Amino acid sequence: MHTLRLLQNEWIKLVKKPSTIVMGSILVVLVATLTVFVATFDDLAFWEFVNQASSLYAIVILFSIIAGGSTVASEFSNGTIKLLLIRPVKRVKILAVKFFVVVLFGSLLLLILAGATMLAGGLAFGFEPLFINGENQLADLGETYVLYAVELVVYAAMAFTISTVFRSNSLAIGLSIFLMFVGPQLSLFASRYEWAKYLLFANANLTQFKEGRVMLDGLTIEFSLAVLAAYLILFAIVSWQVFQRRDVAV
Amino acid sequence: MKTVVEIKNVKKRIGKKEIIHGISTKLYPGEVFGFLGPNGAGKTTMIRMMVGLTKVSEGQIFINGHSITTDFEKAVRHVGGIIENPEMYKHLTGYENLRQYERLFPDPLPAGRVDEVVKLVGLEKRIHEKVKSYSLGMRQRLGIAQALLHKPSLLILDEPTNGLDPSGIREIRQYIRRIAKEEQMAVFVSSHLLSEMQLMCDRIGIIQNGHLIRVEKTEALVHSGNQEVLINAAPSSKVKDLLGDRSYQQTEDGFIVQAEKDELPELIRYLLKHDIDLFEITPIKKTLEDSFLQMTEEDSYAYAQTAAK
Ligand SMILES: Nc1ncnc2c1ncn2[C@@H]1O[C@H](COP(=O)(O)OP(=O)(O)OP(=O)(O)O)[C@@H](O)[C@H]1O
Ligand SMILES: [Mg+2]
Repeated sequence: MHTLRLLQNEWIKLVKKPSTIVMGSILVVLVATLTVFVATFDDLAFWEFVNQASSLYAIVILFSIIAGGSTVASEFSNGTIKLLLIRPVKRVKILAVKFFVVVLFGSLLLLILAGATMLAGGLAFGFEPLFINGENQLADLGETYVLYAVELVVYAAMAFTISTVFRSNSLAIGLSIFLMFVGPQLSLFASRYEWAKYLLFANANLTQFKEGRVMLDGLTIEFSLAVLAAYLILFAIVSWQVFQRRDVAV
Repeated sequence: MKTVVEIKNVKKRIGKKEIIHGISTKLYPGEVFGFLGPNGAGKTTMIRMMVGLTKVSEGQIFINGHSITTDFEKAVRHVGGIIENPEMYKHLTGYENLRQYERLFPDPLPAGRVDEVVKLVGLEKRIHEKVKSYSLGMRQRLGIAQALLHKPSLLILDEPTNGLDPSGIREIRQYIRRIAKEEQMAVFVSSHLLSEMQLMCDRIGIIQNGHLIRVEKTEALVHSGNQEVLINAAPSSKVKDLLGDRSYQQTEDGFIVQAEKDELPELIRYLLKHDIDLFEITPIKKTLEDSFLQMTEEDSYAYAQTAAK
C-alpha cells in the first residue's frame, strides 16, 4: 500500500538523522545514571523504582517536540520540500504521514524508557513478581505510560503545527519547550479565572487524575480528554490548511 | 499532434506585484524546449507553477490533458524535474535518496530501475556514499537521476548544467537530446546560458520581465536578423568605392558587410567584374547570444521608454 511506503520514507529520514541516534543514546545514558544515583543513596523496591523513574518521560516529550518541530521545517530549510511535493501524493497525506511518524518515534522512545528502567531497576534492586497484593503491576505501569503517550501526542502536535506554520524548527522547538515547562505554572496562576481550565497545559498531564493531584478544581479526565481532542483538531486544521495553501518558493 | 504541456495565459501575482504576465505556449513529445531569459525574468516562477509548487494566479496549465490545479496527482504523475538546485537528504546516501523518490510513486517501479538511472548519469562509483560528501556536479547528476526515475513524459530542468564541468555539460546535453528523441519525452529546460541552449534545444522561448516575448525554432532564431559577411579583398580603397552605400565595417581581417544570403552571388560577381583580388569571403554566423542580447536590449529599451512616459 502506498501509505506504508510513505511511512517507510519518513521513518528512514528520521531515524537516520544523527540527532535521532543521539537522542536515543541520551535516553539510555540518563536511565543508567539515574539508576546508579538512586542505588547509591536509596534502596527501592523494583516496581517503586520503575514507577519513579518513569518521570523521565518528560525527556521523551522533549525529544518528540524536537522531532515534531523539525520534520516539516527541515524540509523547507534544506530545500528538499521541492522534490517532495512534486510527486503524485496529496499534500495532506504527506503531512499526516509525517505527524504519524513523529508519534511513532515518541512511542518507541517511551517503550525504550520503560524497557530500560525495568532492566536497570532489576539489575540494581532485583526483580519483583508481576502481581503484588493481587495487582498487576505491569498493567498499572502500562496505564501510566498510555497517559504519558497522550501528553506526548498533544505537545508533538503543538510543535508540529508551529513548525508547519512558521517553517522554522528553532522557533517551533524553542516555543514548545518553553510552553511545556511554563504552561502548567501559567494555568495555576490563572486558576481563579473560569477559562483557565480550557488551557491546553491544565489538561495535558493526565496522570494528575491517576495520582489524584488534580491541578485545577473541577477537572475530570473526561473533560480533559475532550479539551485535548479539541486542541488536536484545531492543530490538525491549522497545519493542514497552511500546508495545503503554501506557495513553495525556497 | 499530441501536446504534452499546454500553458494557457498563465499569470502569477505575489502580493500586488505581477511576476508572470500571461504566458501561453505548448510543448510536444520529443521536443526540447528552451526557456531563455536573464536573471529575474520569471523562469523559476513559471517552473514552480508547472509542477504545482506554487499556485497559478490566473490561467491554466495542462500536462497530458490534466490540469495541474484541479487534477494535481494525475498531472504531476508524468512530470520529473529539478527546480533550481537539486537539494537532497544529505544524511542519506545517493542510493537511499533515489529509493525515497521511488517510494513516493503509487506504483512500484520495475526492479533495477534505480540502478539503471544511476548508471545513466554515471554515478555508480559514488552512489552508496552520503550526499553530503558529493560535489555540486554530482548532486546535479543525482538530481537528474531522480527526475528520470519514473520515465516522465515531461522533464523540467531549471538550469541543469549549473555546476557541471564542460565534459559534464556536454554529456548531459547529449543525453537530454537523446532521451527526448528515444522516449518521445518533452523537455522544458531553462537557462541563461545562451550558447548552451543553442546546442540543446529544438525551440526556444525568450522570457523577459515575465513576458514570453518570442518563441521560435532554434534555427530561425539563430539566423534571424541581418546576415553579415566577412569579405577580405584588395585593394581596400577600391573595395570601399564598390561597396558604396552598403553598411560595412572595416576590420583587420577585411570588411564586415551587411548582406542577406541571396544577395551574395550578385555581390561577388560585381566585385570580381571590377578586378578585385578576393582572398576570402565568409558568412558570419550570428550566435544565439547575439540575437538574444539584441532582442532583450530592444525590449528593455522599449520597456524603459514606456516606463519613462
Ligand atoms: N516569493 C517572492 N516574492 C516576491 N517576489 C518574488 C518571489 N519570488 C520571485 N520573485 C520575483 O519574481 C521575479 C522572477 O523570479 P524568478 O526566480 O522566477 O527568476 P528567474 O528567471 O528564475 O531568474 P534566475 O535566472 O536568476 O534564476 C524576480 O523579479 C523575483 O524578484
Ligand atoms: Mg531561476
